[in-house]
Amino acid sequence: MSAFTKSFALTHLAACVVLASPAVADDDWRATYSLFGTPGIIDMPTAVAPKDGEISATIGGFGTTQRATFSFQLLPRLSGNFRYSYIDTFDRSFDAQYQLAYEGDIRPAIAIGLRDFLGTGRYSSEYIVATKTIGSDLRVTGGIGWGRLGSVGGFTNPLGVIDAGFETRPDDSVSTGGTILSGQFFRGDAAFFGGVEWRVNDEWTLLAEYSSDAYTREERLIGFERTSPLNFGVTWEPDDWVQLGGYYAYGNQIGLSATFVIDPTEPATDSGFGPAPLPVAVRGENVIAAASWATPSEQATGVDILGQVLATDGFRLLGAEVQGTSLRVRYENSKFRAESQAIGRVARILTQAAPQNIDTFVLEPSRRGIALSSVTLSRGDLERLENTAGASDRIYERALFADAAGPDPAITYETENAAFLWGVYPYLELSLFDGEQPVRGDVGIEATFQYELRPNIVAAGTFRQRIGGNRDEIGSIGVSTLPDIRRSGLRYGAESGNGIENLFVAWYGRPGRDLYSRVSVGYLERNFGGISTEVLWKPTTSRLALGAELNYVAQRDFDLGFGFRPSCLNSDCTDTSDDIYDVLSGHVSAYYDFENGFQAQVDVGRYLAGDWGATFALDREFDNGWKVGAYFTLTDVPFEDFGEGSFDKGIRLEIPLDWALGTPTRDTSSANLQSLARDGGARLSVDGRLYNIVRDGHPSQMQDNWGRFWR
Amino acid sequence: MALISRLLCAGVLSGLAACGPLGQGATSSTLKTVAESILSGEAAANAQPAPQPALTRAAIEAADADLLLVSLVSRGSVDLLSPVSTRPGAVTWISSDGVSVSLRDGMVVATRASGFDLMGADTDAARRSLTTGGGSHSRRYDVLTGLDQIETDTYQCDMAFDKAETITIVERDFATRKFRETCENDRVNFTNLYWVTSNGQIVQTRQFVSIGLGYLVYQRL
Repeated sequence: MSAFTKSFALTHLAACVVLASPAVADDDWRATYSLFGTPGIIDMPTAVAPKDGEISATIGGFGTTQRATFSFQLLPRLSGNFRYSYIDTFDRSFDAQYQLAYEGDIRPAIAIGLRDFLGTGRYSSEYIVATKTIGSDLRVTGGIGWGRLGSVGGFTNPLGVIDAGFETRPDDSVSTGGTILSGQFFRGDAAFFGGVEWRVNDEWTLLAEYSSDAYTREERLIGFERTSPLNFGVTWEPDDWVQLGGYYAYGNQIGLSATFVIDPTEPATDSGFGPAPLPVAVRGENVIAAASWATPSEQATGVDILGQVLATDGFRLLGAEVQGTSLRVRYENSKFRAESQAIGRVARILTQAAPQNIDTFVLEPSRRGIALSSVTLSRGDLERLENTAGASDRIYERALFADAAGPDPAITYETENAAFLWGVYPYLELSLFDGEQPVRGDVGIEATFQYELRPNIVAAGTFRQRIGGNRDEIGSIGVSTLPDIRRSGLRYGAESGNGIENLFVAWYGRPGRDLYSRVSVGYLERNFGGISTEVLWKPTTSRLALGAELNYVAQRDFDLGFGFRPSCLNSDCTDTSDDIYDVLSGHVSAYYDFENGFQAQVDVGRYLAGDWGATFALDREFDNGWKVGAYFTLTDVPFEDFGEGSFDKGIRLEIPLDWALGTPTRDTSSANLQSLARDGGARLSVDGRLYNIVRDGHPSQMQDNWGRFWR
Repeated sequence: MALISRLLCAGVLSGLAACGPLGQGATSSTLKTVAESILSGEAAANAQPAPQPALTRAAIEAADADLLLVSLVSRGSVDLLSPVSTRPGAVTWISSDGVSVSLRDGMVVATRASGFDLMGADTDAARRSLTTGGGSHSRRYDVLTGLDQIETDTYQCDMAFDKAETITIVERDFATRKFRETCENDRVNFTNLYWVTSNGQIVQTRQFVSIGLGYLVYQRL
């Protein structure tokens, strides 16, 4: 019989029995995304909350009004949105909505929201909204709005009974924007709005709403004509990740929208497509390994073979040492995002390669040449638990985590070709949403190298040649009383189109127990060169870490060569100060890794313009590596001196690429939406700060993804 | 047609030379070769241009190692697997493209590299029900979620004799007793099938792996 008939027989066997369809019918009716990119109908909000953690991007508009909105469900009840829109000019806005009550059998879902609560407040409005699902396919929404949402059919603010001050809405914005407009919240006239969503089938939904936004600003400034408060629309959801909308709005406008939804909790595949690990070898049963490594030469040979085997799975062995019945192995994982997965794979390789008299494995994952922690595992546990239910929890309970500040293992392992690495890649650099241009970007070629003097002392550099783009179109970023730390950033490499992005030596160390250090010297970033030093205190089992950083840097020349320059005094930089601009900057930092997935960081110190202040950052980190966060910096620079935006703030997003690809990689893709880069509150952008390097190898982080140990 | 080419390209019969020595007490220098073939999928790369042997009883008898013909039903994949590791009561089989399946006494207890792996399972009670000709038992399955957490699912199952059946696996007839195991919890229900010979060996079976992957079918060759 041929292979064909047999394979046919097998698939026939598989097919002839009814297949289980285990997936549960998921009857959640997800939020409709409005033209504001938030849960809503067309222009009006609803009280529906997207799934916890969901991220969406909406592009939509009608007439000359255009909006691009990035949304994140920060918590099950709390949504946050960032928007870049064209109203009468380009404008940035932030929204937040909090769901006060979930929908019950009788009670509707109730939410309170702030639209454009920060900055110039061109969309500034507040609302309380209720949404009730009737039957399975009809959703009815009604609400009361203030600000723009109180501008059609407005009535005297009912909150006036509390305080007559609620009846008038002051203009609370400052000329440079960027501040919270709390003085005008829920003030001025109020009005009702509402609407219905009718789900025709799984893909199509019909919408109708009564809008309480009079579009007064648009009528006044860009000749918009609103003839009706009634809007109508339809959305099409061909798949889970996309929603397209078409609208007839305000009596005479045609609108369109597209929303793309990502759920960070759902990767390409749950467990990934990377190769299977080497299975555990049980001692006494067909084991390849030697009985013991009795002599130095047996040890040397054994470690050499171990190094080669580890290399086949992407690990770099730094050294190993036998002490009694224990084998200590120091290695670097450059392949697996989850250090716990790497530990599991290295441990299984050790069951195959370690001599049979070894009972205990001490694994010391390292990065940048320094050991991050030590994880002690019993070989017997590995032998017994593999492939059993509950094995992940049991091995975690039995593992011992400790600091790894001790000396290198006795036998070091030299990897061939590790010393010099290089690469040439295309690059794309985008800066989004500045005051004049929605997008600035460059594409070009980047050449990069890395030369390892020791595993913990590395020289690295990057050279870029621009091929095209508009980043060199130097905008008129107004001068301020501060030195030009970041505002002249577009001038760098603008004339020549190429230059040295960075060229430096970094030295990492373990000065003592729970302590980590870094010294970087050279052209550290595009705008500054000098010396950056850092020390971090992070006990392996602690959720708190403390750090200190001290930098002495000077401002680099615009040609991205080896020279330094004075700071600019006027907008086209024809007038400069006398001396090269140099500055001593530094911070003390506290990091706290909350058990609920949030991570906070506070840095207090001196920034690059010589200003003193603090940066506050909060990130939500998913166990699979997704990070969404926000930060802001307040310094002693007055808002009017800072310029547009008043102070530095931004939103950041980091996506682990193994989430998207399904194959193992430590690479991530990150995006940073920040206010216009200016001069106050600017920090040195140095590569390889300690905290994120160290934390990945500590149990507080490893326990979050320990499920990957046996993968 | 994709199925045939997949099966033939797998060419595991020729790739076995690399995998064979593991578990047979060879010297440690072979460990690297073996690790390479498992971890880098090199066996597949090397094997592809090799002559494509037909799956015949003679070829099976000539092979150095045991063979398992495995299909992941939802993917329509068919592949030949050979053992990489034998330990008390459990054998891990690996395909040419790096997917592994671990069997404890014929029951699927783990998969790796399938995308929706079964990370570990307690199947001893199920195996006892099968050996004793039927009965009720529970199963525990560990799966890895998209958030890197282990989720343990427990199923209540009934094992029952279905019928006596003679099946043919690559030119050889096996007199078997066919068993049907129905399992459910509040989210999922599935039915495993077993064709068991008189000495208690499972020669053909369909077993549930995970929600994302569905069923795995294998034949012992």
